[in-house]
Amino acid sequence: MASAHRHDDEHAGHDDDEHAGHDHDDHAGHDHDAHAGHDHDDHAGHDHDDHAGHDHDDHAGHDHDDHAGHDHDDHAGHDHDDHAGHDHDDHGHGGHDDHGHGGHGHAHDHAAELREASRRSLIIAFVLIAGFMVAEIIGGIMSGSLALLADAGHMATDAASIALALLAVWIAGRPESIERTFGYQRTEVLAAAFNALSLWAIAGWIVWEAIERFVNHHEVHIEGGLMLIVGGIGLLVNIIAAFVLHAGSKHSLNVDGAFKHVMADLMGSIGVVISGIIVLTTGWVLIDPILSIGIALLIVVSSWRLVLRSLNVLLGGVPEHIDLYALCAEIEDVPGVTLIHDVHVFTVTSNFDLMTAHILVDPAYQGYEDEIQRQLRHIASERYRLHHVTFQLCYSAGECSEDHHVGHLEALSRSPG
Amino acid sequence: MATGLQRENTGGGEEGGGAGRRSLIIALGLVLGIMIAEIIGGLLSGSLVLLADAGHMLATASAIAIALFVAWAESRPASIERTFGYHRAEVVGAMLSALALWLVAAWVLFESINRLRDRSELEIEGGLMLVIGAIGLGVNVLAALVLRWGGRRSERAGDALRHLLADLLASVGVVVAAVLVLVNGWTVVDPIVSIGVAALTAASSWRLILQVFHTLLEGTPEHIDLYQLCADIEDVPGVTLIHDVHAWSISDNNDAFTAHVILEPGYNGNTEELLSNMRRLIYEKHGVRHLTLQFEESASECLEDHHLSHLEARSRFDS
Repeated sequence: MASAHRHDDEHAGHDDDEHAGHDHDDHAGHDHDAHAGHDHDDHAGHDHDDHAGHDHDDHAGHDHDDHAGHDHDDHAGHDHDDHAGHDHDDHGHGGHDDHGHGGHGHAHDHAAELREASRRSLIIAFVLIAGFMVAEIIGGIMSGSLALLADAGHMATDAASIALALLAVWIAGRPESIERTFGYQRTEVLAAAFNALSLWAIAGWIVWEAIERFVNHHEVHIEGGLMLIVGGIGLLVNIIAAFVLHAGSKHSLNVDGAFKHVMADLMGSIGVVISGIIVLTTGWVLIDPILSIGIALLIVVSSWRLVLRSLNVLLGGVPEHIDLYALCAEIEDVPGVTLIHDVHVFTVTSNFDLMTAHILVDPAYQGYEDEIQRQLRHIASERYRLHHVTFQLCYSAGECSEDHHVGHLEALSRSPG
Repeated sequence: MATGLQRENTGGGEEGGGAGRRSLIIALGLVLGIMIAEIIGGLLSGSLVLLADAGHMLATASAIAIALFVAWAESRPASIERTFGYHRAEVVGAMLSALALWLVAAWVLFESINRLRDRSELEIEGGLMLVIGAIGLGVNVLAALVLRWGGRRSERAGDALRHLLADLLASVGVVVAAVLVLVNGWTVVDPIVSIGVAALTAASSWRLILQVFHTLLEGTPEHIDLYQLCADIEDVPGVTLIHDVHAWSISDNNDAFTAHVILEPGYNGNTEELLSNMRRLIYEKHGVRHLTLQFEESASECLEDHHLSHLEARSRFDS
């Protein structure tokens, strides 16, 4: 266990080195203490690159101006951390040697990158569908075709669902505050749940309409030719939009919500084309409501998993991709750990999972808490991609008297393995 | 000191379990019964406002159903898939019911505009409408009283009163519309009052949906003063700084708090004792029972970059 201390020293040393590295080079003559007092880590990352050869006065002035007020006090514990993640990725050569660090930085940047990618694909899909919708409205008004206007209304629900997903991405990027310590990230999940549930409402409405057409099918009249053309172009637009959204839908519940709307519309367009052909060739008008009901069922089936997954997130359930038994077992294999309990793992938003647990530690390991914490953190962040962990170490279970534990042992006993 | 204990007493939900449950089930039965009567009556008499009031009844019914569900959820253990148990289902249920209410309100609005545009087909049996409307008013009063007494103690008095008034207003609207249709033959009153009931339905769920969103966004519970809590922890001897602070509510009266706490370098006191002091402080003064505190010797170990720094928060607070 000597390694714990060695590692610590190394770490402390490495921090100093980092500052020393640029402080000495860039700020020769600058008061070292004052400097350390406010800006050392804030600028660790870009100072290295941007200001390497810069004039000393410039640099000093810049730091003071930008960061005087708030960095002074809270710097020690916090700013350091805030910026480390970025520094890592931007400056892989910076010399950070701790695995845990790299993991966090990567994981979070990964999430931010994914959000940016979601935003891009959503915007492309929105422009495509909204553009086609506007064309349909203009064409509908000019030609006086109700079919065109009706299909434009159809497209409008798609555009609205994509717009909602985009709005959620935008809001989710807002910073956290003391009233919302997780920020607004969950808006993405709420948007996904809303989009999924609204699909069910749409499916219900389609069935209702179809039944009405069954009852008075003499009212059904389909403008065969024009509908076929409009349906065909709409199908093409939807296929392109679906392609654009497909990749993102695997990583983000929010994009998946928009994707499922486009898919529902795509199925609708196929249905229109098929029933158009059948009505034109055979004149069998009942095919239209029959196909509609089939499509409504398809919509419900295809959005079923999205509904369950988004509700699971909102209910605070354990993310699907995490095997909590295995995670607990691995943590209990860490030397010094006796038992894990009061385990909670939940998803804040796609690509941001959180874990809290109470860890019972063998009293013989008192004094090595940092090393144990480091190993726990490594397991959680590297092996299980958990982006935020809080472990409370205790030496006697009597201290942890919360009454809503998931005792790991209890869980294990129910485990199939 | 008082807050924690007080919340304990009001929040437990165990006392009066059986009797409360029975009155809730009775109320739910009454409300669902009159709701179905209103739907049938609305279809038979041609009165839209009866259907609109049935929609509003749905709000009451779902409130009772959620209260019943909470009682059940509190008896269910947490599991490996659902580490918080089923407490959150209360919040998600409230969200779903609010969305359903908006759907109903939108339909009623749509239908009223349709009927106002084409008034020739407005034929309403005022007698049937009045009878069902009057029964609805009576049941609403009864159910509202049972609900206020039997459950939902977590709701503040002002909210409860507002709900009660909204419920009554909708039912009174039905009766007034029925009287006007019966006596004066003003069938146009029916869709107009329907719009009012729809607006009332949507409005009464608005506050609910705001609260639900706050909870689902994992916002800090309103009754927790997070600045004060952080300051209190930092005042504990041996503590340098608290950071990476998160407080959220799992469900009503069930809050969680996690934070990373940096100890003084070379702190060699008993961390076990420190922990139990903090636990007592946080529970007794702030009423938070579930916490996870990670002690650290330096901040360099934890590099999550979505921290909420307490000090940063405080500096914004002071200025």
